[in-house]
Amino acid sequence: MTDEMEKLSAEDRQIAAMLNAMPRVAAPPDFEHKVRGRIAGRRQSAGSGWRIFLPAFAAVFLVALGAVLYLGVLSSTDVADVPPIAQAPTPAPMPQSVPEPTVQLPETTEVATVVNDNRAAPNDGVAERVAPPQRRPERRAGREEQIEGGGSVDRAGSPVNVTPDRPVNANVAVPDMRPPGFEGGGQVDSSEVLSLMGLRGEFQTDGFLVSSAEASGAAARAGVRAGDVVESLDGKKIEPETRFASGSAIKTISVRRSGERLTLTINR
Amino acid sequence: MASVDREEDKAGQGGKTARAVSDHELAAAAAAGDEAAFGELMDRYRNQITNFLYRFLNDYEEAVDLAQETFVRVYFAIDRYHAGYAFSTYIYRIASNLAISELRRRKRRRLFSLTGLFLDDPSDTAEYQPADGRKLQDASFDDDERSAAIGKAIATLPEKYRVPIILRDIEELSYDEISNILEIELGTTKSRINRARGLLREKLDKEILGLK
Repeated sequence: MTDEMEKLSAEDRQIAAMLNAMPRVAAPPDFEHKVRGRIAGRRQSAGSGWRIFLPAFAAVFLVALGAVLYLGVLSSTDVADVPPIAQAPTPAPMPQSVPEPTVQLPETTEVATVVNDNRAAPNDGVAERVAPPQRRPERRAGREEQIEGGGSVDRAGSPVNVTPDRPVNANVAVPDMRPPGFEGGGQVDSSEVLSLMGLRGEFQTDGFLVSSAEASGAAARAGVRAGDVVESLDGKKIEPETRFASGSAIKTISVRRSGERLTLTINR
Repeated sequence: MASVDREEDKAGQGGKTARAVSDHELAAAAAAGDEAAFGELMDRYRNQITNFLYRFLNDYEEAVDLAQETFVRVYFAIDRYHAGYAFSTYIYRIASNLAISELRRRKRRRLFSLTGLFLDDPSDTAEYQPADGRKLQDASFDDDERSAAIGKAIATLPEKYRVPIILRDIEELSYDEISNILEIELGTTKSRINRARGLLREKLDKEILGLK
């Protein structure tokens, strides 16, 4: 420090000397004893420190275990819930509306449907038929005459590559895609029949309340109007569960209009 | 070295006497579990560290407490010490960091002055009491007005100036060692010490300076 003192200014030298001359303090006599005590305390707390987290670890483990078990149960339930294909509860949905055709409609009024079984409707009542999907052609080899000029729809009922080369029936039914042997095969319910006749509305306790009737539909041409309540088709009472044979030609429609019951004839 | 015999004669406290066993050897022995070696290191440095902390904090009780904590830290981190630095550098660095932390803790306490909220040690339930002008232990050490005035002036220096000037002008460490302790450049160390002297000169009354 002497060498440096020589380089310092007089004032700095005075400051440094004053600081150096300050009396020194000493540690108290029990200094080491207290340090040893602190060390022993820290060792003890460090040794037992992990025990503080033991309940937290246990809780996390239990939560994780519960989550794994819960997810495992869920996944096994999912598999069990998948019904066998043969027991499918609902068939492929039938569209409630058919795309409006852009071509000139013929003067046909038949309600035509396509069946996928051997109980085909008699040909005398069917003016037009729609070609079923081109899949499995070997099963349709004997019905080629029925699919001439028809269109194709996908499973959702949307037209696919509709390229009509001649007038088609506006009341085209969507082919029934239900699997062979399905108990409901070959039949359509009343809502579909009404829809194919161009009627829109809703079922009530006493029939089907017509909210609108397509002018080009068979029902409208027979004289059904909005506000009519359709009670029966061909004498068969109309209810949501009422089913009709596929391909059957509806000849009469009974409606109630302003309390009066009318039986209208479907014109062909 | 299996063990170290404690020196009975502690007249040469502060490491100014020649010792048969170096600090490095003692530290190595302490790291190997030799409690006597650690005790010897404590004997060698406890007064230096206590004095350094006392001049830094201007509070004897706090200085002793931090000095004890310094040795506790050294004990548990002795295996991290390597011979690249002097042991004094290692222990002064720990003490400096503790002292600076204590200063910042005091500032927080002043800011919030909420009892117990910012105490690190839950067992320390005593509320902070700022250093006062009473003549406690200071009286036996700074028994003259000039020493007390200098001590207070040092305690008002910013920490970045306070540490180096105490290490240099009171503990008489070299500039190199101070720069190692503070982990700053040598030039910065010298600059801070000069600046600290200038600040002290401004703070100390000319009358006090003229007392010499």
